[in-house]
Amino acid sequence: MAEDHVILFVGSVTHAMRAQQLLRQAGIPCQLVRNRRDLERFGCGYGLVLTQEADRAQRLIQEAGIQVKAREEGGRRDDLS
Amino acid sequence: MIYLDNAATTYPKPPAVIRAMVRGFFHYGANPGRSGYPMAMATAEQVYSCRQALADFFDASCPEEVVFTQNCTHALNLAVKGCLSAGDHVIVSDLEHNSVLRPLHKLAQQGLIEYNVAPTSSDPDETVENYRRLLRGNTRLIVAAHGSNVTGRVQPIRRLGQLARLKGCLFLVDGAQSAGLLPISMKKDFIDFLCLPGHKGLYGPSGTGVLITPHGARMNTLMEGGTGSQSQERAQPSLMPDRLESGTVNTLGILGLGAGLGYVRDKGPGHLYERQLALAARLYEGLSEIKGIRLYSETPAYGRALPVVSFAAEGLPSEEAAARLAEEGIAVRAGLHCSYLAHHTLGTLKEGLVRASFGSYNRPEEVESFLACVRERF
Repeated sequence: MAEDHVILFVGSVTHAMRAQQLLRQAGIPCQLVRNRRDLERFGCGYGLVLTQEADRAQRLIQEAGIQVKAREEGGRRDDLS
Repeated sequence: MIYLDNAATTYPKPPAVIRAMVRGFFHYGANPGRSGYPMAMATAEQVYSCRQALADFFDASCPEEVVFTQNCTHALNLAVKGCLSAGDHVIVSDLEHNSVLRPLHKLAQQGLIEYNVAPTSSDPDETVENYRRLLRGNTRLIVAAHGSNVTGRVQPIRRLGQLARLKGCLFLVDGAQSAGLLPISMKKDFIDFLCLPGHKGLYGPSGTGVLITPHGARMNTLMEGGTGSQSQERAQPSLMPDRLESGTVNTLGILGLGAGLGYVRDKGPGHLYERQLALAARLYEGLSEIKGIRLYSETPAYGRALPVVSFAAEGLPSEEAAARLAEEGIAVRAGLHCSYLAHHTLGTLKEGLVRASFGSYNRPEEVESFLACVRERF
């Protein structure tokens, strides 16, 4: 995975897939991955890996009513829930 | 066999449904929403695709409002028990299926709620007025079967939805008999809970059902458990659809349901409805000309009735009549059709009725064979 990526974590696979679809429609490609760490804090969930326009992607997802629970960038994860 | 029991479940299923399920066995065998390996993600995508297609078809706001259930009865129980609290009042019609009546009756017997039954009429104005007259200050929920599984009568759900919205009540539509035939819009019909089987007019397999609701996050749950989400928390999550979908979903069934919905969309629900209604109309006309046959269903008029024809033969109990038809290779349902209220309303609780119900694969010559059989064997 590229080092300059951002991962936006959402609560469920359904949220992840809707978010991916929204971003695809907005021309922002992303890959879905499982949350791999801090399970006690962030639980089982899915993240959207972005290599471009992460801020816009986050805004689009949140405007669609999907909660972004955490944002990981450069290895650092911020809890947004 | 001449299959005229489509109101119970549609048969046969389109080949695409069978192909989708077989493909699922080979390619989508993982548990969706639990892991991240390619087959798990591919399976999750298939389930999501069906969820989204249902949301689009029934005009829901987003796929998260679509909950997969094991059947329509499960969806109805989820909705009824999920939204009601002690002291609530509910209004139902006199044509409701037992899957609406029984959960409400149990809650009433427990002293938690009260419910009243609104008489329906072939005049929609009368039906709406009958519901309106029963409204109280504590009426929480109005329930209407979009179409009766016994009489085929279509209820004015948009007007009932408007009434509910105006009065601050929730509105539940039982779309068991109408989904895939008549238009249903969550938004335009002011629906709070839409309950559907996957295996009737949507041509999916048995073991599938759907609840569509924007209220899921706040509903009481019937079942709690693993959702594949927020597993670090002991409480059931509020996010939808997970809140109302504990445990592994019927993945293969959902794949079949997705294909069935695709079949309905390709054919066009309006076209399917017109064609089946024409067959019902021919059967209705033919039966009306046979001495000793009394018809109990609605005249098959466009927009007013579903393709369901129910009748009684003089001096012949309904199950005996159905048995004679079965001997001639004709499949119908007799008895009380899991609908105490409808038969109570019709006065047919003692002997029941014979019900013929049409589907996409029925043909005009089958109607003529049915009529010939009735003339000969009854």
